[in-house]
Amino acid sequence: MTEKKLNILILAGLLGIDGYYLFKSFTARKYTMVFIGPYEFPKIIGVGLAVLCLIALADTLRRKDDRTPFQIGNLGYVVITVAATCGFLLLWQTFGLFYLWAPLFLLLLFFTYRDEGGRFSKKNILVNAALTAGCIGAIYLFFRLLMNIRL
Amino acid sequence: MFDYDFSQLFTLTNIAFVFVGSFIGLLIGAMPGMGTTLAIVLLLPFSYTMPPLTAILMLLAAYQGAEYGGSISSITLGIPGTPSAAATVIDGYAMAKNGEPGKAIGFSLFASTIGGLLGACALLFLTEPLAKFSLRFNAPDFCMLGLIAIFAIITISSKQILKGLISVFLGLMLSTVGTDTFTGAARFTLGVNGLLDGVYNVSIAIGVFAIPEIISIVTSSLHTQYVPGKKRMVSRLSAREMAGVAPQVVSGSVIGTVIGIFPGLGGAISAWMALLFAQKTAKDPEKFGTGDPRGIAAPESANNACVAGSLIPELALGIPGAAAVAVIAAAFMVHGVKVGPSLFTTDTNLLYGIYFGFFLSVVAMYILGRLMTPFFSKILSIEGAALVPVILIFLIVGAYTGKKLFVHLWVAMIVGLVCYFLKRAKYPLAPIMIAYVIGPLIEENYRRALDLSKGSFSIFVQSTCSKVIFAVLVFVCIFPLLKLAKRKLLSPKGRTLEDIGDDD
Repeated sequence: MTEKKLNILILAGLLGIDGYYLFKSFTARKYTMVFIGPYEFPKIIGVGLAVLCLIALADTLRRKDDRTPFQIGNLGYVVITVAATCGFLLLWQTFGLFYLWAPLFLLLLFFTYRDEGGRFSKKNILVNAALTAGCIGAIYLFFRLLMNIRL
Repeated sequence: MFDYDFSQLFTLTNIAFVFVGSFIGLLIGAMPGMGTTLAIVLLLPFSYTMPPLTAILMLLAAYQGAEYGGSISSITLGIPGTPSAAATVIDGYAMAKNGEPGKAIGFSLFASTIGGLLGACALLFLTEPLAKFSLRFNAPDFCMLGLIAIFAIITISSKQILKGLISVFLGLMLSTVGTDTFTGAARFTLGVNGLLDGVYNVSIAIGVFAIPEIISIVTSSLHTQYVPGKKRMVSRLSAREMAGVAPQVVSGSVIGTVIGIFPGLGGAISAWMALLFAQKTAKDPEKFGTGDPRGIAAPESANNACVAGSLIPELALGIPGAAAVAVIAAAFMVHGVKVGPSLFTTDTNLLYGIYFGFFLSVVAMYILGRLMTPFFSKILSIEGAALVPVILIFLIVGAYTGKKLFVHLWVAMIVGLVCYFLKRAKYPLAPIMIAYVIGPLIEENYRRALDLSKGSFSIFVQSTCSKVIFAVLVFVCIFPLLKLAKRKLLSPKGRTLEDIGDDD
C-alpha cells in the first residue's frame, strides 16, 4: 500500500465516522426547553469535518502517487502486541483475576521482544521472569497498597 | 498572595511527590522518542487519590524535569530526548565531542534552573492580572478565545494546516460525547452507560499520546540501544562561567516565557528562537555550533521558562496552550477543579500552592539533575524491548483505576490505534487533545451566548472587547489561508495543498 492510499483510506474512514455522527445529530429529537439544542453544536462540527475531509480527499486524489510505500516495521511484533493487549483486556474484563492474566501478558510480550542468548535460554527466562515479577510487584505496591485500588 | 499559608505547601507528601514527578520527568525526558507528554500521561493515574495540589505539582515537576531531561541525550548522544531539546544538540553535542560532556550538562542544568525560576516569577506575577482582565470577557468572548487558541495552534505550529484542522474537529467531536450539561441528553454514547460521563480524559491522553508512541517504538526502535560515553557527567561551573552565559540565560528565559503564553508555539520554537537571538546578538556568532556554552544556555533556559509560560493561559483563562498542559488540564478535571478566572475566588489556596510549588519543582529538578544525571545517562542504554511491556501495563492499569470501567480501556485502545495511523499519515495529534479539552468551553459559551441573544450572532461583536477578539479570530483564520494562497500562486502548477504544507 502506498502513502496516498493510506491517506484515502483514513479520509474514507473519517467520513464514515462523521456520517454516523451527522446522522445521529440530525435525527435526534428536538429539545424545546433551550434555545440552542444539544445537537446544534455537533451539527456544526460534523459539517465542518465533512467539508475538511472532502477538501483533503480531493487534494489527495489530485496528488500524483509518488509510490512511497506505507510500511509498518516489525509488523509481526505490532500484531502480537495489539492482539495480546486486546486478549488480556478481554480476559480481565470477563473473568477478573488481574494478577493472573497480567503476568502472562507481560511474559508473552517479554518473550516476544527479547531473545538474549536465545528466546528460551536460561538467562532470557530468568531476566523475563524477574522483569515480570518486578513489574507486578510494583503495581501491587503502588495501586493496591499505596492507593488502595483493587484490580 | 504572599500571606499564603506555606505549611500547606511544604508537607512531606507534597515534597516527596514533587521529587517523584521530577524523577520520572527526567527519566522519560532523557529517553529519545518518549517525550514530555508521555511522562505526564504515565503519572496521571497515580494522581487520582492524591489531594489536588500534590497531584498538580507532581505533574508540573514531571513537565519541568522532562524539559531538562531531554538535554541529557542531546548532549551525550546527539539525539534530542524531547523536541524542545533539539536546539541544544548543536552546541551541547559539540562540547561533549570536545571532551566536556560534564561541562555541557552543567551549563544545561544551570540554564534550565534559572529559566524555570524566572518562568515561575512570571507565573506568579502575570497570571492574576490576566485573569482579572479576563473578567471583562463574557460568554461570546470565551467562545472566541477558545477558537483562537485552537486555530492558532494549527496555523502557527502545524505544517499541515488542513490535517491539523481535521485533528481539531476530531477532538471537538470527542468532547461532545456524554451527557449534555444543559439538557441532560445523552449524546453519542452508543448506548454504553460508561460513556454517559463522556469519554474519559485519561483514555484520550493515553490514546493520543502514549499508544502511538509505543507502537512507534515497537515498529522502529525495539532493539535500539544507546551507548553514552563514559566521561564524567555534570561538572561544577565556576562563577565566571555562569556569568559568561548570564545574558543568554536571561534572554532565553524571557523569550521562553513570552512564547509559552501563546498557544501552539511551545518549547521547541522558544528554544530555537532563543538560540537564534543569542547568535544574532553575539559579537562572535561564528563560535556557535562549535561547543559554545551560550548555545546551550539560551535554548535550555527558554524551554524551561516556557513551562511556566504555557501554564499562565491555563490558570487564568482555562485554555491550555500546549499538549503537556492539556494533559495537566485533564488532572484538574479529574479532581473537579474548574480552572479559569473563577479559580481566583473559589480556590486561592490551590492557586497559590501551584505558584509557589512551581519554585519547588525547579529546585527538585536541580537537585536531582546534580545528583542523578550519571544515572539517567546510563538508563539510556535500556532497550525498548524491556520498556514497552512495562509502560504498557502501567498505562492499562492507569486508564482503568480512574473510573474502574473497561469501556475506557477499549476507548483508549481504539483511539490509540486510530491515532497511530493518523500520525503515520502526518496528522498532528496534539490538537486532538487540546481541542478535546477546550471543546466544552467553546460549546458551553457558544450556546450561552446564543441563548442570551435569542439566536442573533451579533452578540459576538457587541462589546468593544468582543470586537477586538473577533478581529483576532478572523486574522488567525485568514492568515494561514492567505499564506497558503500566496505560496500556491508562486509555486509551480499541479502542486497540492499538502505539498505546499510540506515546504514549511
